Amino acid sequence: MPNRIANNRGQIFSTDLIFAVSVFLLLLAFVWYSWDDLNYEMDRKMELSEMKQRALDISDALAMASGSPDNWALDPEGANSIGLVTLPRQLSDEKWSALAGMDYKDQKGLLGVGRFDFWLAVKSGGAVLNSTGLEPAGDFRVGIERAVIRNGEAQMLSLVLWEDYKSSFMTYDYYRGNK
Amino acid sequence: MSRNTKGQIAIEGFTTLAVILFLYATLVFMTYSRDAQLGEKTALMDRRDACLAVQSSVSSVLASGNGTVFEFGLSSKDTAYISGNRAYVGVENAYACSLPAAVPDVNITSGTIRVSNLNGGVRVENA
Repeated sequence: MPNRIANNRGQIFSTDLIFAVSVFLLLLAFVWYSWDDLNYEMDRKMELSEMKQRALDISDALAMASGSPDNWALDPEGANSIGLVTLPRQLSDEKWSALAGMDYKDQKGLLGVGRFDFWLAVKSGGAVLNSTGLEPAGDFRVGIERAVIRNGEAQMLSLVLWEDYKSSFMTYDYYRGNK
Repeated sequence: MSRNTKGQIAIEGFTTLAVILFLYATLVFMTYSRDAQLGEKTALMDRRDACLAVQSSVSSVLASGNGTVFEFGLSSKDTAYISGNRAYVGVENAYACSLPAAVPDVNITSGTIRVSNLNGGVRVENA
């Protein structure tokens, strides 16, 4: 009888059990890691999708609407929303200057970019004529371009929304380093 | 006795593994179906972007007058079709927007797009 008990005890810590537990833990680790990875990719895609939606809405408003009130450039602090044109696609230098002269935080609030950063530029033939906002850092960005008319010339209004994705998801970076 | 015990552990172990794998497969399936929905939404936004980029360029070139040539980059994966008679731009039969003028029929794909207003007519083409 004492021998039998000793045998049973031996079975609990058998190599089989250790092997089974190891396989189980390995599988669990694999499932956990790949699930986490999938979620990370989904978060990135959703973030880009939201960024694109916002960029489309903002660029269309800037190129097609005059803002509220219409002459908001006279009193930028009293502006409810901003547009950069007087008539659809007719870029107003006065409105551009008023926007460029604002504090970055106020610009963000009026443009409605939310948590994203932005860079807005007027280009002609690929060359930047005027710009405001923060120049994009990193490749997590969305750019939208709309043709506008300025002083009788067709130019490009270019809006880039961007985000320093790594610093917004520190937990993920902690696990993945430079990913 | 010893063999029976080992057999029981194996069955319980396989059941546990099967449950974990089943749950994992379910989660992966749900994620991929969410991914597909997101893909459709993104594709629609890309088409809207392409459509409005062409529309704004034609409008601006038309308003800038005779002799204006304007180029811009189109990054859409889709083909945009411009119907001159009906004055609209369509992207993959999924998104359409109107044009302010009659433009010769043309299909344009991603790359540099040239919009010109020459001799009283606006023309759109891949540069």
